[in-house]
Amino acid sequence: MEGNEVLMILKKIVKGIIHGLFMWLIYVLTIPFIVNSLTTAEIFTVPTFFELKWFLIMLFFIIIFAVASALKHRPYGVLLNVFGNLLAFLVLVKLLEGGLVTISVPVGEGIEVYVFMDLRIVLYTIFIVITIPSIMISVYESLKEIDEHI
Amino acid sequence: MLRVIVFLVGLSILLIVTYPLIIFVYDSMNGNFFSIRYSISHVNRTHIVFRVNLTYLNSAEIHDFNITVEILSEENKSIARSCVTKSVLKLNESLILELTIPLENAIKAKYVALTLKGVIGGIYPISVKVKEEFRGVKLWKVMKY
Repeated sequence: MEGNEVLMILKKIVKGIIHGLFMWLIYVLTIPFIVNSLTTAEIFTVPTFFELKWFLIMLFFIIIFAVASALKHRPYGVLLNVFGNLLAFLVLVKLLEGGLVTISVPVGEGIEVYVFMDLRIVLYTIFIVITIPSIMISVYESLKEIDEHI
Repeated sequence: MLRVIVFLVGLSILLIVTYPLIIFVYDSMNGNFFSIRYSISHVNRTHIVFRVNLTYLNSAEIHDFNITVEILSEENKSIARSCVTKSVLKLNESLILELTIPLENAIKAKYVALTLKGVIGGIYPISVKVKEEFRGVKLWKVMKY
């Protein structure tokens, strides 16, 4: 890898991270500020740890895909893309408790409400129409590029 | 270009599949799932009738709907039980369940338990369990009457 190429890749990675930080600023500062201005609430809403946790996970994926896009012409780019897509799907599986969701709804004193939902079909659909095509396209594009180089 | 086409096709399929779920969750988050009203009346000096009126308030249809109402004692033992099944439950539709309970059993009643089962939009199985304590001792009031 030449020095110029390394610099270009680093530039793209930094650009991806700056994009992530920009989204962070919008999410953490601007949205609560606008919501507060539109409502009667006077206190500036500080994001909870739960919200920040999911944002940090999102930022992690932004960085992974930024690096994958920067390394587009290399095998690592494809591998990172596949890894990112599969990991994103696993995070979704974890978030939806494997598709079998049980929620306890707080209604009031003396009342217990439990909701059980089978959302496995959502996971299957996301895997078939989002994850698999994303992986296949990145592999197809890299194979096409290798062919063109040959 | 290929990425854009695949993304749009994927997103369209995902929206079609999740459409009933999105409507169900949206309506539920606005407090529109179902409303339940209980009423009690006398049949004679030995029995009372416990009536449950359920009105479905969600825009998403529920297929193979099944509701079970059970009156439980303090030790969670079943006193009376009734069940109704409906192939499709739509917005604003009502179901009435009646349980005839002997007075000597009614005195032990502490909780009413509801189990609702169905398939949202014919795709997503759902089961809701509600257990409510008899507050204001309504059954006791009827018995004193």
